[in-house]
Amino acid sequence: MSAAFVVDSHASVLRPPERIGVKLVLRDPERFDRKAMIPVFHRWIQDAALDGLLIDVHDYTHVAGGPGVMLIAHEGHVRTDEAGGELGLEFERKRGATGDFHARVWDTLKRAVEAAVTLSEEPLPGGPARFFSDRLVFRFADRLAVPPTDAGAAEAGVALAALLSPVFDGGTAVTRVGGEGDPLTLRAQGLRDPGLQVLAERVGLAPRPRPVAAE
Amino acid sequence: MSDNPAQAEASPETWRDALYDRIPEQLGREIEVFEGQIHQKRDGKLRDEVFAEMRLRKGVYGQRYDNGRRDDGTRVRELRFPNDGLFKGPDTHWDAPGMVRIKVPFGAMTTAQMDVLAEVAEEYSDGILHVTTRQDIQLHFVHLEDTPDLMRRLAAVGITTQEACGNVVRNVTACHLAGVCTTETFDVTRYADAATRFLLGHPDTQEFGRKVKLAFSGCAHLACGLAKMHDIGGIARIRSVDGRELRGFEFYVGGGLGAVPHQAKLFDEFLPEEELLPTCQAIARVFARLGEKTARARARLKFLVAKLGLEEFKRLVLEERAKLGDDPRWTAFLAHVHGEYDGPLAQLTNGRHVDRTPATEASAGTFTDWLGGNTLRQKQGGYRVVVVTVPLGDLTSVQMRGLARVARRFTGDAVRATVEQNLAFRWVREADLPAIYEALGEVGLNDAHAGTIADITSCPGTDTCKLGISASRGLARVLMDRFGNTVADLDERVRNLNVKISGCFNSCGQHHVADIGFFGVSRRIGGYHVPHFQVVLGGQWGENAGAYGLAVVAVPSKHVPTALDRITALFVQEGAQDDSFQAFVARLGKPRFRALLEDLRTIPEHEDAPDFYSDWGDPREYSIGDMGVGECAGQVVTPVEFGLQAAERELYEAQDRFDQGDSGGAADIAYGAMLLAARSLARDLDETLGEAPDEVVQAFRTHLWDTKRFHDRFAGGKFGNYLFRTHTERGNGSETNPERARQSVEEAQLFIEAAYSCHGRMLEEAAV
Repeated sequence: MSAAFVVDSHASVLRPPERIGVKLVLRDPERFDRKAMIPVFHRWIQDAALDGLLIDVHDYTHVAGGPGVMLIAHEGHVRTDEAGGELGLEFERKRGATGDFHARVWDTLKRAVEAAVTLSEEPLPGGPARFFSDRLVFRFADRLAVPPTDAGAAEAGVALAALLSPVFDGGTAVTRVGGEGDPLTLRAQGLRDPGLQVLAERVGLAPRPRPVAAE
Repeated sequence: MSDNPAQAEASPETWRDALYDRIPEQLGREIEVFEGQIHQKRDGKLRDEVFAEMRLRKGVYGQRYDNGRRDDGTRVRELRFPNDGLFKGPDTHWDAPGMVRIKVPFGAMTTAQMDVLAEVAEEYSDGILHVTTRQDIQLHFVHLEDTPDLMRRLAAVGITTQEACGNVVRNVTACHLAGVCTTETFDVTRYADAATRFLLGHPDTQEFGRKVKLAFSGCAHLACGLAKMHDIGGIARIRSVDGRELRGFEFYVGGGLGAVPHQAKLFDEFLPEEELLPTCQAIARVFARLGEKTARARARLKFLVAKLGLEEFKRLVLEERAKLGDDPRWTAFLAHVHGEYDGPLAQLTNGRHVDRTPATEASAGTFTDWLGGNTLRQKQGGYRVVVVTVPLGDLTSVQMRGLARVARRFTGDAVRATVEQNLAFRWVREADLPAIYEALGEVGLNDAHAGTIADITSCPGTDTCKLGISASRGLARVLMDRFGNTVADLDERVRNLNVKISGCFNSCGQHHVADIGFFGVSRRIGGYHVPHFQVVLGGQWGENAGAYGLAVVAVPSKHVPTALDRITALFVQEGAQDDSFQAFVARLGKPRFRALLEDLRTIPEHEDAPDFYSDWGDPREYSIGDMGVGECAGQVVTPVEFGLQAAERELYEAQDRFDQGDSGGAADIAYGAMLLAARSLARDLDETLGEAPDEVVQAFRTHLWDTKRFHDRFAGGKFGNYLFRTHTERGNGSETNPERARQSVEEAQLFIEAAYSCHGRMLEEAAV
């Protein structure tokens, strides 16, 4: 947890958010061809490769710094996001979140990791996608529930650090990132990289029939 | 939002509470009513059709696949949304993501509005803001239940989605240079603003059979506001009377693109400014009273004007005008029309000349290109308009916020969306140009080449539109990539051509007024549906969309880039130095272009090159409208297809005759082409069918119309009506004028397209 956050324990500003994004950052972004995701995401729809109602694929690769290729789903979208200059795979929940702040963020994290694991098993033109599993970017595009203020950042930062404790073996640094006016965006950095498979197990994903590509 | 935790403790839980004191009362009430309607619909207290019109008037649209079916490339799948069985319109699932259209009158945005637009895009949509060809902003993949809060947040900064869709007055558009243009007669902004405010929610604009679109232009000769392709269009005019200069408008009615484009008619050479609003009101009343209400395909104002004739329409409007009681709003705004709508953020302090030294050496070359292509001198010395090239009109929320920051730094509240899907920053000090270039670069938006062949306009097409036939945006992306790095090296005449693409015949991409336009159609080849684009040549973007192009030939989608290369190469080789592209097309004639592209009409067999059988940017095997049956592989060319191809050849002949000035001949041949197509279809069901026109039309009616086999899921039977009407006109001995001949050619084309679609459906039914 970053020392920059100071929380007033008597005044909570957080409410359970509906819209949460979790991004896993790619290790070798230069090898990753976002256009190659178009057939991959179409196949994911055919194969129902992810939980939820998968609807369509959308190509925004012509937009600089944008979502690239998106897999549109009812509950949220999966996108090859390069916001903040870091290319990665983000799951952004839009609907259907239940429970408290912790439960909603945890479920979103689980879906994001599931998407990353699924992508890491794809034979892509530039080789398998490899992710940093010791860093996660959380974006709360729900300004009413998670205000992008110092107080909001502090409280969400503490909550995230606690939530990620079992994921990153206790040591997690959470820092606020993003630009002026952006929704609250926090970057979580673990002390050690557990590897994607271990990360998947720690967030509660069942072992998959095929081995995850080597990190 | 407070940074103080103690204050934040009492922070509101809903946007209604958070913004209650910032939303205009009337607007707030309307949003409350809409939210109530959502609850009523959910509780089963409103019919699907009724609720659909209610939400459409709020700018809340359906999107592709909202019927709960999608062909995933292997089979048609049901999309099982959570509230299965609950609908927000006929065959439109409640939970299916939809589109929200946000009205931005004449495209003018404040920086505060840009910030909120960015926020609602990232919170409720897919994070992308789409600038439309009518200066709106659209958001996609929005859930119905999020729309009231989305509207509240917009309302708090003075934006409404009210009447962004539905049978009402749509966004009022105007030239993005109004007020700063070096050639304008006067600034039309205040007039567009007054029309927006006066007509929004006006009782006389609530009973239309279809939408009405208004546009205002400051100049006649440029594209400007595209006044001549609108239902109501005004071009600024000044008349001297007794030594006084009076303002008014060259006033047009009955224009429109769509499936069958109509050039607007000159209603008044000089409509005095004080008559602008009452005349619009009178037109609205006449249209509401006499316009078609049931047959949507003929319900636009253009059809009423054509049906009544301009003189009778004008008589009725003036008669209605005379009945109207005075309304102070007609003239109240005139007290402000001479003031500038916006102005510079800061007065000039340090010289008026462009500092041609960019901030970094690396950007020197591109800065020069950008300076030449993306900036325009204002009539106010020392300032320029900077046009931000927005690829396909798409921006991320982060980019929009970044642009708001750029505007705060350099221009203030002086940003306008353009009809070419770009954004114009007005009042940029010339000395600030290098700095704003760098600042735009930081948000990835300082590409040069605005308004060139690389700056392609496209409608959403099959990406999100329910009516899309071909992937207009997919094609546009390919062409943009193709020209992106080479545009500076192109022959100047080619560089300045404009390319516009629609995913179907409905012309949302404005293909009719492009130098080179494309619109999506499908063809059946070897038993497979194959995406195609009709090539439309000879439209005119200038002169306020002064002329419409005509289709030359349908080319398979994957051959379109080659087709474009050939057309532009021919222009370079054989175009005279002072030729406009339109003049070049007219001089060479369509047969020449058809011959140029003839070999591109064929494609390899499916097993040899399956890529031709899918659309751009979509690996799924192409199908029309996600139909419920698989492809009919191995089909040989049927007699019907031979007949339809013959009809198409006839149609081309009709187009050529029209171009040669032979209106009568063009209309005759177009009619013959329709008969040929109708006979080809009907004969498949009645082998004894002869060739007499009455017999063919009757057989078509019996076998295809009455059975609704010819009817399209979206267009219904409107294209069949073209045949019936033309046949009746022939029987009545109606005279053909050039405009009617032109419409006959357009209608014949649509009829033949519909015949191809009908044949495809018949084959699939047979396969099942």
